[in-house]
Order: sequence, then structure tokens, then C-alpha cells
Amino acid sequence: MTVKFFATLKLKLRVASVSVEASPATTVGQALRDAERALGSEFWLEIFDEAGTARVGAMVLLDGVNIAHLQGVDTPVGTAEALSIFPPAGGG
Amino acid sequence: MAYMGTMLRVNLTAGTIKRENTPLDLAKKYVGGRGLATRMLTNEIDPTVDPLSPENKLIFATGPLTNTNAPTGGRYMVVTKGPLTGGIASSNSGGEWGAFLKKAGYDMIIFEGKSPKPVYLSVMGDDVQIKDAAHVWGKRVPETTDILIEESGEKKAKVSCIGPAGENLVYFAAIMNEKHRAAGRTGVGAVMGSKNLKAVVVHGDKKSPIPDQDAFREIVRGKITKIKENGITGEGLPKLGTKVLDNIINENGMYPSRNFQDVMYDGTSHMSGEALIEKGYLKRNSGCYMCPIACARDVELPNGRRGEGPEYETGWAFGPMLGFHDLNVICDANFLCNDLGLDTISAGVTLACAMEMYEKGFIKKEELELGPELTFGTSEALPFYLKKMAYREGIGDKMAQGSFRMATEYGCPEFSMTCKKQELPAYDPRGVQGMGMSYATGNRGGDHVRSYLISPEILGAPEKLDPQAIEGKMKWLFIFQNLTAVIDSSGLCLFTSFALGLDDYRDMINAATGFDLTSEEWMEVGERIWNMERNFNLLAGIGPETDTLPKRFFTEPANRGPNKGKLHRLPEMLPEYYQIRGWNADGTMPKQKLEALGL
Ligand code: SF4
Repeated sequence: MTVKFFATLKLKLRVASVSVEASPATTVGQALRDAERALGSEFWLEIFDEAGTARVGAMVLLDGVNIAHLQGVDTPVGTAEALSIFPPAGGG
Repeated sequence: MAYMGTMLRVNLTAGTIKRENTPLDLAKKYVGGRGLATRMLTNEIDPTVDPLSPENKLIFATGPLTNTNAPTGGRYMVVTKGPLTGGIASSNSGGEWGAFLKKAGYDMIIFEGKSPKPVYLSVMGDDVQIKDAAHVWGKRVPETTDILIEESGEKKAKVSCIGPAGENLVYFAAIMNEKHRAAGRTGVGAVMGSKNLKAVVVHGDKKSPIPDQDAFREIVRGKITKIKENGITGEGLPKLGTKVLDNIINENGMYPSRNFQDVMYDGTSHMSGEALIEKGYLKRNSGCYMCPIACARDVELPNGRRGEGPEYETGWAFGPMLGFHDLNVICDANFLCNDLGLDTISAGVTLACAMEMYEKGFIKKEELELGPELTFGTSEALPFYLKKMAYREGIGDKMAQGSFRMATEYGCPEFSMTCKKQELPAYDPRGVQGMGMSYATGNRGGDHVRSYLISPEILGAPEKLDPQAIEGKMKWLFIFQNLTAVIDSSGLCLFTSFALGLDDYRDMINAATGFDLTSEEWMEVGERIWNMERNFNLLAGIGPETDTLPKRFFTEPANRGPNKGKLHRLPEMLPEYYQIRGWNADGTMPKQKLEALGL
């Protein structure tokens, strides 16, 4: 599956996306850790606090659905094609 | 008290200027800015008055926190009866103009009547004069601004003015200050034009009298720290500006394109906030008066043009909504709108409506008078028809009334993406139920800043709500509408609310005014302001039947993405909203409710 980076994270990592191997049972958390390994760069704490909850304004979308409304980082990726990751961002 | 205590009443028909005491007895009930100005307007005009007649009034108002060192304390509000919705109109702007009106010594200015010839008001501290504006009438915003600053003899004077769009009574004309800042929505610029009032120039050096400066400074310091430490206001907004939303909203499947026929746009990453940086177009960010966030962008394009913008809404209305994403075209059109004094959202969404009407055969080729094709994706059409709108030429004259009147004239009002005749912003209601209700129930029509439920529904601030859920949403809507009314009336920018909550605003307003209202009492102030605006609309003939959304959102399911198949669920939520508001089941307002709020 594809892990896509946005906003300041994209600018920091200087990469738009990375591919990771995932089976339907792979969790979002595992896929993100795999993405960190593939990039050789850690971004977990840009998105989550120590408890694994997204920081205010940060989000992880599984095919467009916020994992906050699924099972958070424990959500199995199933047949989803993409994870989109946003560090804290907002506007109006 | 952080009020200057004095306001100006300018009768343009008679050419008189009166100094009056600001009605501070009303301040505790209406704060200032939006609240206090709306109270005065509704006290003084007949709600059924023609918005573009001399009987309408136009108020420029600051809040108690304007011209203080509270974070973003530089804003002002323009309040009037507007031509676009025919109801309460009020539009907020940043920059420094608001602070300088207070530095000149005044909390607000009420304009009455209509000048027999073009004039501007010069407010240089105690020296206030109505001056001839024949030499700047017809000129665009930047030139007008430069000429009037020169004429004032004071380099730091601030100018708020209209461009050709306001002069030509375009129903969505903006009032522009400091060239790039817009009191953009609801057509306040047309009311200014109808009064033959070209500009208001302000300058002064007075301080706002705060009861205990040290205590106020201490409170403010804590709020600034909160803003700086918040991920959205401390990092996301300063770095990427509001255009960081392009990808967020698109990935969430609610970034409308082609007049809301599609709920996503494939070229988003090419024109996003990130792209502006990656392509090297962004030169620096800048901010309004006393703003620790500094979300404004200064861009330079490959075509050599440099200026401010675009914001999220403008980038969308001049890009995906019209089916293209060329940043050169988008930015140039943004600059052009600022020069002409046009609201970018209504201009873009009206053009998108015209494109759908053209593609579906309602507008005929002959009506374009050899102008560019009005088809989605034709970027050449954008600057061409923006000028036509501003000068009311050819088909631009129809567009200048906004999409609702234009589409109705052709027998297809369903193509107008408006609420209460004002064009909608860049969030598809089929993907975000609460925000859709915010559009439907907004007192100034389709709008995103009067209760920005995107914050909890999408961004997760202050907590994350499911955008498709409807349970409990109407309570959130009620709270956001009321709180925003307080923030707007205080003189601060709404973006502070990503980091600050009700108690923070209570602390700052109390410290600046010497009031000692509780958080609950401030929320009641917000509720009072909301009800007052609603009541004005009802009296103006804008009934509860207008608390709805364009038909498309109930009959055409979202075509793709995470919200595929979804419609908006307004009928399930509206009765609950009326109930929470304490209104009658039919949306009218019981007398007891108005009395309980002291209205
Ligand atoms: S956050 Fe942006 S719009 Fe608001 S006051 Fe600051 S610079 Fe101006």
C-alpha cells in the first residue's frame, strides 16, 4: 500500500509517498512503522502523543477515513490502497 | 475600559459629521464589533429597507480588543443590510485598519444617507473631514490607496476602500483595506458604493485605555504561549497558511470541483499549499496587527507577478471549482479581484455556476459576445469574466447579481450553490454533516467562518467528531455559532480559536473591559447576538424556509472517495437545531425567547 505524506511532514521528509508491503491484517500502526523504516526517518511523534492518539490537528486517513473513527493505530488496513498522513495543520 | 468611548456619525446626504458617545451601556450585552454594530443597525433601520438605498446604514466597528496587544487584536467588522442575501450583512477584516481607527480615537463609524457626489472620509485623529473623491472614483484599489495615503500627508495612514466592483454595485463587492485585506463577503462594498463613499482613511496614535495594563499584559502573554505551542496555530498555519487545507479536504473526500458536481479534484497536489513552497513561489509569510500566527502569504509567480495570496478559499474558487489548477492563473485572478474589490468566493462560485449553465445549454454562445468559452477547464475565462462582472458588461451584468439571481433568471436555480443567495465555500456538505448545517442556518448566508465545524469534524480541534455522524452535532453548532459571535465582537481573528477556548476569551475581554462576566454569561452574549441577527433576517423577509441547502446535496450522492454515496441529512438535524435554540418547531422565534435574551 502507499503511505502519503502531506503538509510540513512532506516538506521535512522531502518525499510525497512511500510503498510498504501490507496484508489485510497489517495494522495502521505497523504500516506506519514500516514506512519509517523504508524512509530511514521517524515521524511517529509528529502525529501521535505517547498514548498513540493523534495530536490536535494531526490525522491519519485510511482511504480517506480518519482512523480516529475506526480502531486508531490498531485498525487493520484490509484492502485499503492508501494511508494519508497529516501533521497538525488547519486553516479556514 | 478598552473602548475609546467616542464614535462618528457621518450623514453623507447632508455632509455632516457628529461625534457621539459610544453606547457603552450596551457593551456588556453586545461586546463591540459585530454585536454592538448589529444592535445599532437594527435599532436604526427598517429591516425591509432597500440595501442599496440611502435609508440603509453602513457601520465600521471595532471591538474592545482591537488596538490592544491581545493576539490578532487588529480587526474590524463592517455591518449593514446586504444586497446579496437581503439580510444582515457583516464582514470582518484584518490588517491594521481597525487598530488605526481606534488610534484615531473612535470605536466605530456609522454612515447614513447618500452623498450627491463621490467622497471619502478622512479621519486623522481629531481632524475628521468629508473630502471630494472625484479623482479616485473609477480607480482600482491599489492606486486609490496610494493616492489617498499621499494626500493624507501621513505615510502610515491606513485606507479602506472600494474598487470598481463596489462603485458598480456588484452584489458581492468587497471593501479592501491596505490593498490586500478584504471585508469580502455579503456585498458590503456595494452598499459603500451606493452611498458614493469611496474610502475611509484613518490615522492616529491613541492607546486603548485598559484598566490594569500589567494584569492585561500577563493574561495576554499566557494566550500567546498557547497559540505558539498549538500545532495548528504554532506550526501548520505559519508555515503553510490556509492552503494547507487543499490536500486535507481533498483526501477527506469533500473538496468540491466543477460546481460541486464532483466531491474531489485530481490535480490538488499541483496547486496546494505544499506546492507553493516546493515550486519556490512562496517568498515569505506575514501577519496582521499583533498577530503571532502570521498566516498570510507573499508569493512571486513564474510570470513575474508578486502579491499576497491565495488563501484556501480563493485557490479553490479560482481553481478546482472551475476545473483547472494553474497557479499562475489562480494567483493572477486573486490579485485582480483584490484590485477590483470583488469577493473571490462569490465570484468563483458564480462563474462555476455559469459554466454548468453553459455546458448544459442554458447560457447560449451568442451571449458570450465572442468571449472565451464558459466551459470547465477554460482558464482564460476567469480573468475575462471577472472584469465583465466588476464593470457589469455583457453577461457580466447578470453574474454581478450573484449566481442565485442569475440562475433563477435562466430558470435553473438548482445550479446555484448558495445558501440564502450567498455562494458556498470549499467544503462539500455531503462529506461533513455539521458544516452543512452551519451553511444552512448561517445568518449571513452560505459561509464557513460563522461556525467553523470543520475544526472538530475534520481537524479534531478541540476534539475529533465523526464528520458523517449527526448525533450531538446540533449542540456543537449552537456552541460554535455563539462563541464565534463573541470572538467576532471582541476584535480578534477567528483563527485564534484553534488554540484558545471560551475561558481564554473571557479572560481577555474581562481584563480589557473591566467586566466580570463568567464564561456562561459570555456565551449568552453570543446567543443574544445570534438571535438578534436571525430576528432581523425574519423581519427582512428571510424566513425559516431558507434554512436549507442547494437541492444537489439531497439528490445527487457524492460521486467518489470515502463519502461515496452520501447525501446531506439536513431534515434529520434541523428540528433538533431549532429545539436547542429554543425556537418554535417551524423556525420562527417565540417572543419569550427574545425577551429572555433582552432583545
Ligand atoms: S491568523 Fe492570519 S488572518 Fe488571522 S490575524 Fe493572523 S495573519 Fe491575519
